[in-house]
Amino acid sequence: MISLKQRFTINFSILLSVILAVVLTMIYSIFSQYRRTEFKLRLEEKAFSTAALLADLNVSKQDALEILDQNSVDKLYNNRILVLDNDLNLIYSSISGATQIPSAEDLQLLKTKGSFFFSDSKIGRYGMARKLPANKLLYVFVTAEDKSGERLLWFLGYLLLGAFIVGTGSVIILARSLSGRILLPLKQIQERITNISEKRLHIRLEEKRNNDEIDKLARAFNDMMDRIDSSYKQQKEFTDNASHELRTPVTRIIMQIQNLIALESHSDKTKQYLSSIMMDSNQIADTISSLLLLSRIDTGKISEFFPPCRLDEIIFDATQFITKAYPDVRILFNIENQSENDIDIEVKGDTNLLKIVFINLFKNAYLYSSDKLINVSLIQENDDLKVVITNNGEVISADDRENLFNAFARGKNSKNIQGTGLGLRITERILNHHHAHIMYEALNENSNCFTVLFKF
Amino acid sequence: MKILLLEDDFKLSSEIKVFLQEKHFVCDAVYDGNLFLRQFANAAYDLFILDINVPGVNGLEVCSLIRQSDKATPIIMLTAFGQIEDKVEAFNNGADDYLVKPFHFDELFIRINSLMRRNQNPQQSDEIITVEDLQINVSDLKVIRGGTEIYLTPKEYQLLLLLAKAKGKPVSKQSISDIVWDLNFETGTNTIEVYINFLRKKVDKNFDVKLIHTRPGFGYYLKSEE
Repeated sequence: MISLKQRFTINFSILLSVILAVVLTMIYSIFSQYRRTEFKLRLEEKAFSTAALLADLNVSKQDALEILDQNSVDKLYNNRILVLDNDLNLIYSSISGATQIPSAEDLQLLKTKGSFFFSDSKIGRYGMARKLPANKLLYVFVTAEDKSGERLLWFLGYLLLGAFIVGTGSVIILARSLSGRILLPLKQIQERITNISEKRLHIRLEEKRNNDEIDKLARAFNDMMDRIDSSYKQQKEFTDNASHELRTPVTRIIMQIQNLIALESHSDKTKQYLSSIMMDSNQIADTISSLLLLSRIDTGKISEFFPPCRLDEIIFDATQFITKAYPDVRILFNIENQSENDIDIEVKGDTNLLKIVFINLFKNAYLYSSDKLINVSLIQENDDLKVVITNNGEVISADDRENLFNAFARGKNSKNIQGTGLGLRITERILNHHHAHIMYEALNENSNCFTVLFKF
Repeated sequence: MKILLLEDDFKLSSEIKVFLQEKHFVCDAVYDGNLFLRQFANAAYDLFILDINVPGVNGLEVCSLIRQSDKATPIIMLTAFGQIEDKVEAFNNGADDYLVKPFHFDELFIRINSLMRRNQNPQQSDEIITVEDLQINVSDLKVIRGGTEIYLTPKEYQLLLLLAKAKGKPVSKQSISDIVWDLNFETGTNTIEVYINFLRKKVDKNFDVKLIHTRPGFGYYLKSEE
């Protein structure tokens, strides 16, 4: 994936480089055009001056011409001059001995146009027909190499190439820093958004009030977050409010049934029904109180600043509750210090909430055990404090493990066991709130193990 | 035996009243905090039951107002479930016990009885066990050594009390496990050592004279010198 920054850098650099290349090429081609024109002018001048000299002298003064040619200030490299008269007789040739007869085409051009100029990359050829008195014509041909022009052109070429390389390099560096600067707010936005989580919906982006696109994006995002936050709160509050509203009637029902059961006039059948209704009502009450607790944690109504408390005492409190509720439970407790430090089993937490955690875990361990024995170990390691709770009983199936900590999830092994399906959910939420973790593993096919992990 | 009940839910209030009358208590019920305080000023009661969320003055405030003039009469708070903070607050305001709604009437009956009993024969206060410069005040659970208070957790306190009550005789690990922890609870031998260790750290560490000793094979004892 190419990032926006890279894409901007690449596009911007390519665009500017192309513009630079076009401009430099234009400069080069204009200059090369100029060189050609100038070279033609020089050849023309040479031809004119030669023709003028011959016309004025009206004689072939080979020597004089040669002197003139060789002393010319404006010296042309590899210069050859050929002068023919009306009847194509050689009047003058700058190279002694060698005669170069101009081609018929050249002559034809001279006759029709009066002059011509050809130039390839090296050699330029200029020809002209000069009218003399008495209807005579003088044909002058000048050829030369434009060494200095060529050198200038080369020099310019290298100069422009260098300029292009330096220019393109600077453009790339410029584009990189520019795109970095422009996209910096986007990067900051991305970093902030990454921090937003279920618990931290209050995070908003910084609005700079300079009305640019990124600022508008930030504002739109903040508006969206406000809406999400408020609807999330409403949803959470709903659970809270609904539970509160349900609580009173359920309490009334339970109280009334209790008094009803106490009356002596019931038949056995009625009593049976009443205690069954009582049990169901109690379960509804359990569910409602669990939901309330969950929503209180989720809506952040429970403080995040905890005093230190002794984990062992919390566990003892929880076991006391369990032994009261299930008198036939047996709990095996152990403390181990596997760290190199002195034993220190204090954690920062809310005693009441952590008590609920262990009550839930012990209750499960008891209800889902085959021998009513719970094994609890408090283990201090170098970096963490572990509470390992194991029991013997049917293990949780692989499918159920995925939903273990979800609300209203009840495993296949819970068929005849009463429960709300909220216990482990609450346990996990409370522990999350304490930055602690809970894990499950099956030690063998008949042994469950829950581990609660507090980091020091 | 007269009980004053503060509960704003009419149905609940009448159910509680029915139950209490069934158990031969005299029960007056009021529905808001102001009425309660008026009633409190006008008549004498043996126990108060307060709901927290009531109109007028709320239950917690009522509780602390009662405690300004009356330190003795037991108070039971009724809290709605899920409101954990309420419990802490209730105790800070001077309540003796709390029940989470919906509660079992039998549970209410047990709590009322135990509070009444406590109120009728208050514990012999000022019972202090002294070992050298260590003082254990049994009535208010305070432990002081060399003039400074030592803060113990409930289990540490029970362990220290057990050793102190043995008057220098060694107490075996098994007895410690059975007495300090309840019978459903089995501790590894290691655990008792850990707790003796905790206790040593708090009771002995900063003092020259060590009080907690080990007699291998027999157990632990509390004595000034060997």
